[in-house]
Amino acid sequence: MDEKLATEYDAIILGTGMAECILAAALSRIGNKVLHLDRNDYYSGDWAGFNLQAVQKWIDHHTGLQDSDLNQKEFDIESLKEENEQLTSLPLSSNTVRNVKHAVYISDEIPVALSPDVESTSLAEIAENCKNEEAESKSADSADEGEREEEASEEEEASEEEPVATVIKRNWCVQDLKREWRKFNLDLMPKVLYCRGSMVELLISSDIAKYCEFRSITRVLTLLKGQLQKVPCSRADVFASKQVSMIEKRMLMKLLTFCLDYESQPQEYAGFEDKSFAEFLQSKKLSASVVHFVQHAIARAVDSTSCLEGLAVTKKFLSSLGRYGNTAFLWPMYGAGELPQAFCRVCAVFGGTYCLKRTAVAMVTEDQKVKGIIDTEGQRLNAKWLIMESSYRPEPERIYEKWISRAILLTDQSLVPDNSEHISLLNLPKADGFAEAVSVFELSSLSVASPQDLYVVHLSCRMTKDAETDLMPVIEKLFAPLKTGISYCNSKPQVLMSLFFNLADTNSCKSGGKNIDGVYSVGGPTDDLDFDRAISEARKIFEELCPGEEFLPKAPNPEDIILEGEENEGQKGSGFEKEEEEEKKEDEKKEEKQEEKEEREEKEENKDEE
Amino acid sequence: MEDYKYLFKVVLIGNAGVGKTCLVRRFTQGLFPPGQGATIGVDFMIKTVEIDGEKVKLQIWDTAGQERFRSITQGYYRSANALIVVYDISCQPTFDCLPQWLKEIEHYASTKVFSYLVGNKSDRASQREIPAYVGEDFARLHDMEFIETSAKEADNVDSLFYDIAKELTRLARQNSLRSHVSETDLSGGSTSISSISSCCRFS
Repeated sequence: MDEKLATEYDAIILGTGMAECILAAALSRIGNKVLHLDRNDYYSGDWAGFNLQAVQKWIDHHTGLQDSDLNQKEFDIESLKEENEQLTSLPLSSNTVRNVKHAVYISDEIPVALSPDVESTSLAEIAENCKNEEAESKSADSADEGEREEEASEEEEASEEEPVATVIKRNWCVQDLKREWRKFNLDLMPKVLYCRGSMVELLISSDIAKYCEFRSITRVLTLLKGQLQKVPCSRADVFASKQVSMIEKRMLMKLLTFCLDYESQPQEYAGFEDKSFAEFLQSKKLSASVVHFVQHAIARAVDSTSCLEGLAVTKKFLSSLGRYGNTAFLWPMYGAGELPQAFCRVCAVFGGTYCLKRTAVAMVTEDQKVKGIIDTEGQRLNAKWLIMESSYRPEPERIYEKWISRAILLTDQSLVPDNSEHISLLNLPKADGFAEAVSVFELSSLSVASPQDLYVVHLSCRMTKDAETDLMPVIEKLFAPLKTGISYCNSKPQVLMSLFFNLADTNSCKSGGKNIDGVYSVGGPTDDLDFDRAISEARKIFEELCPGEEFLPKAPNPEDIILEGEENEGQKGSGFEKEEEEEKKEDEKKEEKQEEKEEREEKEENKDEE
Repeated sequence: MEDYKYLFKVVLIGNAGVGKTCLVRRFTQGLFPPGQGATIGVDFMIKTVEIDGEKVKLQIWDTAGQERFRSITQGYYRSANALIVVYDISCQPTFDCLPQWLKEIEHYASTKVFSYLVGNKSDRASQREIPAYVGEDFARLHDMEFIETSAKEADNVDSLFYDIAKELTRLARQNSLRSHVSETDLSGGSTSISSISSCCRFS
């Protein structure tokens, strides 16, 4: 463990967030010597995901209850530099997290009075009561609107077919959650991949996909006329949807077909190039529902989003449909924090050195050119390039103009329960009485981020005041009131635990400071839905550092590699060749299977249309 | 008509220098690489073995040097079907670190992963610091299998990997284990994007 690091590198990278890791992998892949450090004892920085134990540690750290994990040593820093070199000290701890507030709304243990057999005898009664109450509340609601009455009665019919499917709730206690601590993967900033977005393309082209697993986001929801509903996005969805009328279906289809190919039909949006996407949609004489679906659920456009931006996102969404699963999105299994690590693995496989709990105390420069760093263990390390995430920059330079408000909730029921498990995505526009548009992820155990029967709900928006103030209106709207003690009969999900915090958008870091040759900085997570910004940032720096070099070419297949010395052993060699052939056959088989699957899907789709 | 019945992911951990890479190369290639030549660009090694007349493919992952400063990425442990924890019988500190490695496993590997404790470098009898029974006791206490090997002399290396293949095959037949193949590619449950080349588009 006390091993010394080698002293000479091409690049030293501080921080293991997405952009840093992509750069680390890209540089290492083409033969650069990379040293990759992180001040934390975990990977991925502000992109990280934690299990229940680790998140407690993170909370303690950010509420001042626990010191950092840095391995620090005492040493004389001045002795590590040459006479003509300058030292600029670098901060040792992060300043990207604020207003951390954690609350638990369930008791530590189930009270003795509620022993299992008592519970089971009373459950049927409770269920009966719940049914009655729900029916009452529904009929009260539906008195307001004629339209809803129909829906409510439909729902009741459905619930009669499957009696008491979701009403009985488990009486959770803290001990239950703690027992499942490993099954949580709570992302500081959850992200998805557009099925045809640049992350998917990069993972395929670099073959880094083999380190990760994904699941489709199963539903995109929206809040329309006070109700959460599924957004029809594919053609089959549009035709199957009961929420839109026949005329609206045609409108929607026409609009979506245009968006998919908007670049070749500029006449359709002529005059709106400088206007907002919302204005463009208004001009199209669409119904309010159709505008809502396209603007808020598909393009996720706020009122200021420009027309071209809105069209671009809509196109990205639409072209991502039908590639994997039913929606345009993939969820990284075990959470977003896994992806940066996949890139680190590539960097390491190609010789990169990794060291957590270690960072730079100072940057060494000479004549405005970087020479290297002094690390927290008192080693002088030299490099041509120093790349750091913005929160590693010298103190006066790390001031952020934009912050994100975040809430992570554990709940006992889905927002829109049905018979299967879901990973749902929901965008709540600013107009619904919220200070900013709020992004919502609801993760069932399907996501491997949440244990069976529990749901992890992520809320995020741009910060206006602080996380709790910004997001509380959403919580009040969607969930049962936050308080201790579970009410069995509430039809809304109960929040068992909540965690609020503000996260800096370090991309908003003020540029400035001295321009030092060879020093580059990259940002952390933004409030974007996907990873694409980090990719373009990393690619840009890579192209500057290594002009003309290929960005993350595929690594050779381990099964094709013939290591030196192998030729001497004739038999072994032929064994490998055989395997290669078999491998090809296997690929062909996979493709065949895939084609079959597509055919089946197409048939199903046609059926839906009919 | 598949060319193998099962594919299993086997993951090696343990301190730097205990001979993890040598074990893999001895088993997969029959070589004992002289010196500490770092295997740049090699992600994992493959070997297909036959268990009860069925072909079983082992995908054996090495740490890529990330163990040197105890900085292994979590994804490395995920979806492993078996773990091999290696120490050097002639080096006490490599044995003393085992509890720390087990803690990492507990955090990141799936719950019931089959694990093997391996005391490597059994050829260095004269420099032995950890008696075999100490390793055996430790393994029993932590519900692991135990074996001593020598990658240099090819002692017990094949039997280690064959034993793992046999046990994983047995578990897979009982359906108590999802084999790696079905997990990523075929079940359709989770999606492995590399193998999919579809393009059915919106309109």
